Amino acid sequence: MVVPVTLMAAILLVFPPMQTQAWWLMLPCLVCLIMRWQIISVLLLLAAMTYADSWWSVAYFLIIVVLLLMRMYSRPGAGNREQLASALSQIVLTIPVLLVMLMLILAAGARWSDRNQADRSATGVSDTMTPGSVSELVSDSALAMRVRFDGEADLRPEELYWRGLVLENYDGQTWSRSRRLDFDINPVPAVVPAESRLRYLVTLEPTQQNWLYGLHQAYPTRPQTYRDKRGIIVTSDVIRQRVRYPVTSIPAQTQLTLNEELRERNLALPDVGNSQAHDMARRLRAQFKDDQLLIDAVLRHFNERPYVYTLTPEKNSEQSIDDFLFNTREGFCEHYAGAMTFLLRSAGIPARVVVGYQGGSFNNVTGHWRVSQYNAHAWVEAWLPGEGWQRLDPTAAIAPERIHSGLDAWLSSLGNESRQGLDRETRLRLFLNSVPGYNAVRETLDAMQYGWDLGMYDNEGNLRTEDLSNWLDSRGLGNLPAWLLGGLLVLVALRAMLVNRQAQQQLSPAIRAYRKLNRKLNKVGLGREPSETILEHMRRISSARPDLADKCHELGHLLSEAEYKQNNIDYRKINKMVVEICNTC
Amino acid sequence: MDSGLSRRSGRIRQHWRHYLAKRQERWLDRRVPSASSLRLGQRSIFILPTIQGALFGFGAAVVLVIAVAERNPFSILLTATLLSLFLLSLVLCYRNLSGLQLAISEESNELPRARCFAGEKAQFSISISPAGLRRSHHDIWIGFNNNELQLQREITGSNSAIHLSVETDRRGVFQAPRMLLRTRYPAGLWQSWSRPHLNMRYLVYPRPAVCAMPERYNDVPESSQGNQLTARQSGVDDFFGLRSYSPGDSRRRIAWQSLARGQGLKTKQFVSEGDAPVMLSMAMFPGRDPEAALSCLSYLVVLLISRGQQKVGLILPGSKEIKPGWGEAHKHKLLQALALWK
Repeated sequence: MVVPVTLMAAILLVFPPMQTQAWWLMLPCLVCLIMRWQIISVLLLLAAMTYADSWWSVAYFLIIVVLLLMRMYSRPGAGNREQLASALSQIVLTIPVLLVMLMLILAAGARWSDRNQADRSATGVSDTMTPGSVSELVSDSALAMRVRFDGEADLRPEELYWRGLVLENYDGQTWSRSRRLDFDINPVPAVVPAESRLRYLVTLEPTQQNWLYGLHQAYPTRPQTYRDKRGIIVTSDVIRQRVRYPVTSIPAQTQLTLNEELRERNLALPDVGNSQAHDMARRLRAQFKDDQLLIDAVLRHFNERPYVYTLTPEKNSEQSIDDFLFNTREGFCEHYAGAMTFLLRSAGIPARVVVGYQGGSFNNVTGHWRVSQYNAHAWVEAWLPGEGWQRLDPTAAIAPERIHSGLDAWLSSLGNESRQGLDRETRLRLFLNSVPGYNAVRETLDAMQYGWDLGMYDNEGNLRTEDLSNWLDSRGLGNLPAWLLGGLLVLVALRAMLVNRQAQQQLSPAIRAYRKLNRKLNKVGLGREPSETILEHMRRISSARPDLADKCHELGHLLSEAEYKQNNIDYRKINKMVVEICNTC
Repeated sequence: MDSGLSRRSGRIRQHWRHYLAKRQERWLDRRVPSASSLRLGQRSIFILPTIQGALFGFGAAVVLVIAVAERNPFSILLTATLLSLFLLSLVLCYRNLSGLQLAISEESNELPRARCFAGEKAQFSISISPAGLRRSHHDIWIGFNNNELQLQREITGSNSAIHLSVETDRRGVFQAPRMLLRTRYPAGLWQSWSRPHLNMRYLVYPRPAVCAMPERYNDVPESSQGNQLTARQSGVDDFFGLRSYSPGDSRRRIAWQSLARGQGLKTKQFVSEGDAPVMLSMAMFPGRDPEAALSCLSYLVVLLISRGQQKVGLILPGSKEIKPGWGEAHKHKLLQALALWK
């Protein structure tokens, strides 16, 4: 008996996947391959391919693909050599198609791997900020995070300031974070009533950074994640894959005392440079003794003077604050936050820059907020005696609609000529937004992605299958699936062999006799053609060999009788005739 | 109540199916007109993914998107390979039919052979040749309808003839239906098919219906008057001619000389003089409808000519009288007249 090569190869190939993490997909895949359920096998193979992690696994999967193509060959009865030749030629011919496809995928903006991802966060939130050096802010529509609030939280986009980092150090050009951390290990203060607590679930896309985002004063629940007293949430690991964490936020608690070190750090400015700004701060201080009045005056200054909010500002000179405040007068949130913090510090008010995200778009389908990279924002916090840290947003003073209705609405309210200066991706997005129905479709797709993510992945971004294997491991049954599937595989292989033998035994004696005759006739070149019936075959033999005509004629009739009549068949006669014909030809 | 409703909806469905089939036929007639030889090309080849193919392609596309999102270069490579295999399969499947040349096979469709009785199968012979000398086509199913397709494993090199048969049901000139060529080469992911129509015809004689020769037909007008049919020993007196061998013929009558000359198996025919000619006519079967009468006449023509005792003639209303005669050629002349009457 001939065991198909594909079957043997598949049994041999069972062993490598036992070592990989995708064995629970590969075993059923190979079982289906043996059982000729090719399409189920394909789908399982595709699922397993997402686990490929080395060139070895690529080679392994390619061998399976070749076996699969052999099994899928359009004529099932074809020989192994023919099937293999066809499969290999398909693999070779597919190489040019594959190259074109890979080029298209990469041209469409897909990233080959996440190794060179460092440049990506440049358009989002980073831990340094150099306003004067950027001449164009490319607005990246990539997803930053999704947030779902518990219960009925009635929130407006302008209330959503997702705090990320606090930048306290300034060297005259660049704002950067202070590396000193002051952990706050206290739980959520019990005095805060339940109704003023906000509970929500944040799903953060990979940032390659080690801090998280939250509203106001945020208390996240996640292993190895700590709160800093300034409200920064730091993780001990870098966020390399999508993570999900529940957060409880409370209104910022008034911090009535500011220790010396903190006050010093939040008042520090470089000794030289930006003298015009210093002068201005001194004048304001002389005019307003009260801190609050001084802050109002700064905001009023931004509002009333001809300052412009733009994503494509002119670059500033060395004296970047002076140049911005008194010369170019155009910029985006980073310029305004930087300049305002500088003015306040110069006037003796402790102030710091906060970076994070602002706003988001509400999804009506699932009711979550989608925060994109272009929602990245920078604002100011100032410390007032008796009131603690206050959030101040100078951008809201210049372009209030930018905060109230979001970046996209603000951009689309711009005139045509200002839009020409925007990058291509942003213009495309604005155009799509104006297409009726586009937003509904986008919201639905986003909702589906979110649902998929919630259902399929756990909080640390791993497929939920781990839960099942953990449960089995905890009962000492870690190898059970492997044993079950291995046993099944043996059964299937046995069955495939037995069925083949049974099929032969179930043939009627007449057909078996005819097959015997046909084998003999094949040797003299008179075998049955694929399209011929038995009767036609016999007729052809009669005309080719008139000496056998009588016998063939009779045998043909006997055989067709045996096929269609159920009883009274003289098999002995059929066999006798077959033997006679075999002997004469 | 319920059965009435379902019956009516069944009728509507049938009506619709019929209507759509007619429309499709008309559309095909415009798009792929019938010809005596044709080459399959873009206009005549249709291609769609099979269910397996659709799942394969869709699955590969979805997993490719996942792989791109996860930025895993290895799985991007693998899933892109599967997707490109799917696309390649489209090209190969189309190419497997493209350029194939079909023609009516010259030697075997001449009239003397292209005939049968109604209810028998009409045998058409079609010559099929590959698109080029170096091209080969694999695993193509060919036939006249979906249920009776035969597999051509490989079409390569010079042209080869294939024989297709199709059931006939009525006498007259039978026009070969549209052919169907179908292939799922190489991996069953796509199915391409074509419906070429070759302008082939077949002459279908009336289906012979066993019936007795009327005892008396003296009232038959004109020339058949006075003829008598009496059963006699089959003629042994004079050698009349050869006819092709049919099973059951006596071995003594086989013309071994002609076999030795390589002319195939023939049986010698003898006739005896003295049998009066028979003039067959529809009037011999009064009260039967014309088709039934034609069937009876068909039977009698075959019977009488194969006995070879008498000359047989035929007169049909509205057509020319056929003078009594003998032999195979005369038999076909008579049957043709029966087939084409009115």
